[in-house]
Amino acid sequence: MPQNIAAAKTTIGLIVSSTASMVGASTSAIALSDQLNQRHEFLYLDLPIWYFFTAVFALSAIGAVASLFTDTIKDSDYRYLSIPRKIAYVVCGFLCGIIGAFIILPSFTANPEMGIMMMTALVLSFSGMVLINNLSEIKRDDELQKSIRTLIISRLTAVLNFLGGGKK
Amino acid sequence: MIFDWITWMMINSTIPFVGVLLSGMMMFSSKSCTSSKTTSTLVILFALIWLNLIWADFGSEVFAPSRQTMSARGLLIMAMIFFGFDVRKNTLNSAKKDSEILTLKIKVAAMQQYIDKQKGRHNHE
Repeated sequence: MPQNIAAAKTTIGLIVSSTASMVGASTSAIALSDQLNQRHEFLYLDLPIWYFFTAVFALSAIGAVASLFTDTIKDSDYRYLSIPRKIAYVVCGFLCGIIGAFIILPSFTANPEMGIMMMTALVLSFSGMVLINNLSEIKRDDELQKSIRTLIISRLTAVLNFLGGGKK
Repeated sequence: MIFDWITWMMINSTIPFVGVLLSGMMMFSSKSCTSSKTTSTLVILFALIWLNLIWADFGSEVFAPSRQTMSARGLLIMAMIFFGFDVRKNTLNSAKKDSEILTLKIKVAAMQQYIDKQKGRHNHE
């Protein structure tokens, strides 16, 4: 499909040039408030664009707080989370949502719709927080790290043995 | 009829949302325990897969859905449903085992009490 390849090429070109245009837009004479008040149609409503950005921020906060209630992060008989750690987790999840909606998504699609931005903020703040929690648990637990390392090494040696035809 | 206005394209674009909902249900439901790191990471990776498919459907200028991508989506959601069944089964099993252990502990404590009582009576006599 040559037309698809051509479209992919133009998309990559747009991603590369978008950073330059962003810098240019920030220095342009149009005030930021005017840009934020420009109209955008969503669900038959004609709303100013800052409504959507506020919704993105709120949804990433909701996603981060909601993941505190999953049984991955929730307090249980086996683990207890102190309040500063909980706050740090929520801040990390919020940042994940914001980064996902304003940096990762625009780099994937040239001009994303507002619904997708909100969806991305919600899902990525939630999932980012759970992943951060899991990674920090692994980082904190020396035994777990050791077991993961031995598992990976044993699998790799098994594969190498199979490829090399040697015996264990 | 309802089938007159449902098209394959609509099914194609609804499946990712169903997948995101399913992963949310798995994370929040008390009947499926996702406190293990592997399980929660798998559910989250599934959610990220569905998010990427949503990006492909509504944000991409290159992506064109076809029968092959639709069948791949169907298989992926079936895989996710079976994974959910497995997690639920494991949760129920471990809950059953916990309750069994609890009843056995209570029985042992009662028997111990009875034995102590008998010993005390014996010593008294």
